[in-house]
Amino acid sequence: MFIQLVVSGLLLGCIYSLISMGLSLIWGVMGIVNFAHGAFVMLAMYAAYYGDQLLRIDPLLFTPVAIVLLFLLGVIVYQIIIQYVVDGPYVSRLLATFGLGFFLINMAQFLWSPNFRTIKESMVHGVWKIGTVMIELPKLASSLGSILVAALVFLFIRKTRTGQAIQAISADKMGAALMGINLKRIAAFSFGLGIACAGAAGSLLATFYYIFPDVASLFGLIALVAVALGGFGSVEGAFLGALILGLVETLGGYYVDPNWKYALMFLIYLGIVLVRPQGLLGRGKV
Amino acid sequence: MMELVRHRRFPMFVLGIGLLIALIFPWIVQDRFAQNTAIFVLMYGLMAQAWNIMGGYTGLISVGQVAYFGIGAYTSAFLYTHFGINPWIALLIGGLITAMFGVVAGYPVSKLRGRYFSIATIAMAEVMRISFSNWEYVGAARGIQLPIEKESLLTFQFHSSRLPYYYIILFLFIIVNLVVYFLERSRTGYYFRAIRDNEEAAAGLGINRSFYKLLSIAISAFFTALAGSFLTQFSLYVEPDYVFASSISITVAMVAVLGGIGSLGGPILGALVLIPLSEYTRAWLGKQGQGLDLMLYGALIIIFCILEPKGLMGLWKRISAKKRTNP
Repeated sequence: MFIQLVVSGLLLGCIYSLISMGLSLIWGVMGIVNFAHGAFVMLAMYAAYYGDQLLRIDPLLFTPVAIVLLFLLGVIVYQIIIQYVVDGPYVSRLLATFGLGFFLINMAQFLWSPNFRTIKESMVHGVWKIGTVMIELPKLASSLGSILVAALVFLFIRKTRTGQAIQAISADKMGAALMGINLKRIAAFSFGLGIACAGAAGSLLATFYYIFPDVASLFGLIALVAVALGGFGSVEGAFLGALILGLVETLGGYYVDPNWKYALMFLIYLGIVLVRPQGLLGRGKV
Repeated sequence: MMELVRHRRFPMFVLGIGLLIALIFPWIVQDRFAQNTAIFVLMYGLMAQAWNIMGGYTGLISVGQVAYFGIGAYTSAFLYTHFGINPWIALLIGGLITAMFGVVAGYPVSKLRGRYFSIATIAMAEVMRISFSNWEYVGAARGIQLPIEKESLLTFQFHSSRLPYYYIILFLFIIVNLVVYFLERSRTGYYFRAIRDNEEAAAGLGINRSFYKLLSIAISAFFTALAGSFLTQFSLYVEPDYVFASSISITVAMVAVLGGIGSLGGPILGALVLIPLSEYTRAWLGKQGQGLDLMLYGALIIIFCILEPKGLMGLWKRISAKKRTNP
């Protein structure tokens, strides 16, 4: 049973890490903690749902479409909101993204009602048995998809010119601007990319997770906690944080009580930052 | 006119007039909805001023104030229904227990800064909501219903009129404002601001930063819990999703930020503007469909953050500064 839970936890953690990666990327480039991140995951889940219902496209195959849609949405949101608050005081940056999340969640309530929805049968279904361990194939497919997208984003940041500009800004904003990097353009692009990560995760989650407006709060908080747990500014840290949360969710859900699993995840986070305030892999001052 | 506006005592003059209006308000406006809105203005004003002690003066930006609010609400409901403790005493005990919770839970969290602190406060509030939703002893997800009693000041229940509730919350609101007024001028208030502006420098000057951070959290938690206990008496029930709703945390922070943080007038001004705006849009759009009013509320928050990031007090300061330079 233990191995079973560890496997499920890691699979879940992979998807969480894709969401967290987007959050971490946005933080690195523009110093904004995107409290609306979960709302974008939720929007992508609905997009995948309607892709399945109206166009009969499987959510797994819909993922590239979700990436493009959410990327564009992210760039638009940057242009009409984020670029105006990015230089403001900390509280107004924080509340602007809170307001955005609030807006999107309630928009979903208004347009699509608070009811739970599920996608009946994804193209990948069934269970794969290895010894005593059962692996649900939809979860496996979503996790592999998340790893693939995360790897592509990682390669993009390391290998391309735009990616190097993103790294340069994260390291030293002023220096990057002096080297002729267009801050506004790269920031808009990074915000789009970060949201696209959330979008990919949402579409992949839609294959097996319930779809409802308030799912946004849960995934948003998980991503925030994963990034804070790993340490802001560290992509590896965000990954590690997300995997830990996935493990705590499945192990805690089984050994403690399924109703308490989220409380347990946040308590573990609070316990860890008590010892390491800068997060597991975070560097420097808090 | 300009002479009057620039006068040193002008803010006190405005506050005096405001207090007078607040005292006679329910006698002039008899409309039940308007009176309820006024009660919520004062309740959120109370919480926003409490938030201001932590966020505005000490620089601990919390987005999980609902943890204190809910614990206060639950404590007084529980003490009343299980032990028959008088609601007024339950209100005070609720405040004190919440302040203690603030210190115990705040001790590790107060070592965090900026975004780490904010995220920890949300996580804490969420832990509380989940805990109370699953805690059988306090009714789990069903919450606690308060029995209906004969109306009197002693039972804290009034059925024929809203006026007593209004004056009770006005009284609590005035107290928190007095506390902030004296805090602003006290040594403790200066320590709070020193910690906000430069924690290392403050520590270097010998200010015990842990102690003063926890003190500001305790005061803030105490008053936020009073608002929670008040709501318990006002609506006669508590429920996890109702008294631990994350939207309360956001509204509290938003009221303070909209008004302008780190000043006495900010949260008052913010509550006067934001709460009627959101209550009346709810009444106006609420019937159109679920969520439309809150959608508008979210959009409003974004617009305020873009247009006036320093809050309405910032706007006021800009105007009065302009007057001074070009008389």
